[in-house]
Amino acid sequence: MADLQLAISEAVVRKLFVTARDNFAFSHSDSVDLGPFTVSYSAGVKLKNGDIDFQSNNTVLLKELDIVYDPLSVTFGLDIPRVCVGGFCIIPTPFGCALRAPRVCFFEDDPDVAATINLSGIITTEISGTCGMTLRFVPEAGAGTPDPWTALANGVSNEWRLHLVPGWLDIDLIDVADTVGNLIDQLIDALVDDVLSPLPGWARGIVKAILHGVTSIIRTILDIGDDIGEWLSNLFNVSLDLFSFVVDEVAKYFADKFALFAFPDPYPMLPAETSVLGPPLVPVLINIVQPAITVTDTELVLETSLGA
Amino acid sequence: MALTDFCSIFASVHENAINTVIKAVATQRPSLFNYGTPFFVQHPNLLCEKIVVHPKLPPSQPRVGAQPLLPVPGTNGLFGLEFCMQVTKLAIDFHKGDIKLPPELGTLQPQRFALAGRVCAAIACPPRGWLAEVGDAIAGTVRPIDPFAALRDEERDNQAVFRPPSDTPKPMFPVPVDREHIHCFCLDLFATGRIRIVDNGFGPRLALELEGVEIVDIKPSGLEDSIECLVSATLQLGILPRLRIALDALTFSLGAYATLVISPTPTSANVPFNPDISKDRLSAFIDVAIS
Repeated sequence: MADLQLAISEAVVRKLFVTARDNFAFSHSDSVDLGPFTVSYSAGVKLKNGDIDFQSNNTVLLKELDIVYDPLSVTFGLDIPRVCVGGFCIIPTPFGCALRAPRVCFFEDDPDVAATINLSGIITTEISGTCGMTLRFVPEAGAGTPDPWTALANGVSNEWRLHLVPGWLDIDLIDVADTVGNLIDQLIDALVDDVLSPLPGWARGIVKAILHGVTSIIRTILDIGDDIGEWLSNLFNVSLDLFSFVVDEVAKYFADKFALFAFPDPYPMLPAETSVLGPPLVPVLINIVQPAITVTDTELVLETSLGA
Repeated sequence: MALTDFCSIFASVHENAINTVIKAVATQRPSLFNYGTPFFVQHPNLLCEKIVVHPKLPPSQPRVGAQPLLPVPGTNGLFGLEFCMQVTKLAIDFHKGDIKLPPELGTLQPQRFALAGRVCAAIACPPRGWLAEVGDAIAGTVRPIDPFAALRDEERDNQAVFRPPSDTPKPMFPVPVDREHIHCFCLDLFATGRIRIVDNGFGPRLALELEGVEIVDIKPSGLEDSIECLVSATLQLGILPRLRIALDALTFSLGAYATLVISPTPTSANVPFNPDISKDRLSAFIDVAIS
């Protein structure tokens, strides 16, 4: 058994996933003026649903994480040049115009015509996949420094880096089940609010809840095909559709290049300290020997031995 | 059975790892294990045992923890003796213990650890001639006074040749060291104790607590008890507090992803001891609330 053992339960990782998922959101809006044409958009991304499942083959399964595009709206505008009619002189006199025809102008707004396509909360992308984890040693990063403390202070210590190892990825750019479900949900809400408007809000809420239950069944039925595909992908550890296969390869490339996190070796077991009577004390450094990370059905375990 | 069946995070460390850390602290923070007055700070080569430091430890790092002079009784704080004290060996042993304890400490009890160490110390004596010369000089400064004045506590300031005149501390003069008279002695030290989870406002931490200290082969017993008291205070106030491990340091820096509230898992039938000391390992069970 290794000198040092640290284990995190799957439940903790799940809670962390939910917190991170719920706190993740960004949005952006902008507009482009192309002379008579304008295009403005407002786009944002939120994460919903999804789950993390530790598997016995040393991998973590990400199940059906939805990327919801909300807000997502595009407005096309057309600015028609102003056209004015009238205003000409009907009764001219030597002293100027005594009577003018009324002047009427058209297309004075900018844009004069606008159409908005609002898909907020309707389109959903779904991601599923697996990944393993591996620790890689990056040696001699601190070469050229006189001692390990200087290397640590300069941020050039040797490092152990935790890399994700993607297994398979299944990305449904437009998740049909959820997209149709969202659309039906919005229609139901609008219909109930319109038709049952005399009823109090709580009564309409009950009706909506019942009808959304039906939507949930529709979502499940529409998702069966995708679920089977994901099950097969997980079974064979390979993406079964071409798009996901390409994304899979790209993800593997980036996962190989970038570490999830890194820690220095030697590791500062005790931090640097001030000293009342002398110079500050350097951190106490411990060598990390043969660290390993393992995922089981129920927990993630990091083990290592220590060297002076 | 999974390690985290009854907790959120499980951390376990073998006694070998702790001893590796102790060795690293001793060689990278030698001033925690070697103490001395200014003479020994300047001449660490005259300590009882050679200090072993990490081969690349920067020269700016103190080798000896500076201590004030040991006041010479009767001189009103004017003179002080140079001394040094070193913890030259220190090793921990978790139950079931491998270290043979002295009979006074008995056998190592379950859920306890044993410490074995070696303490060396010396008082640096001055040359004999110097003592006689300065003694004569001091005798010459003491003048008799009127007995009535003594009873009335008068002429205090005149009499007190060696007393600081007011609240201003008077510097203590070090008694010169005769390098041939640094009388070193080494004692084998054993201690037993337990590890508790304490929380004094800085989050829960694992802290070592000594229960018994024994120094082998010292007579009379009063001397033994006094030295044990000194060594125990040195360990508990000087060294062990620096070795406390914050529980939140064992959480993989998960706090970067969410707000974590760390607490020790309450003891129960499934977790009868927390922390648990058994099979040469120290194990901690940690609960995590995430918000």
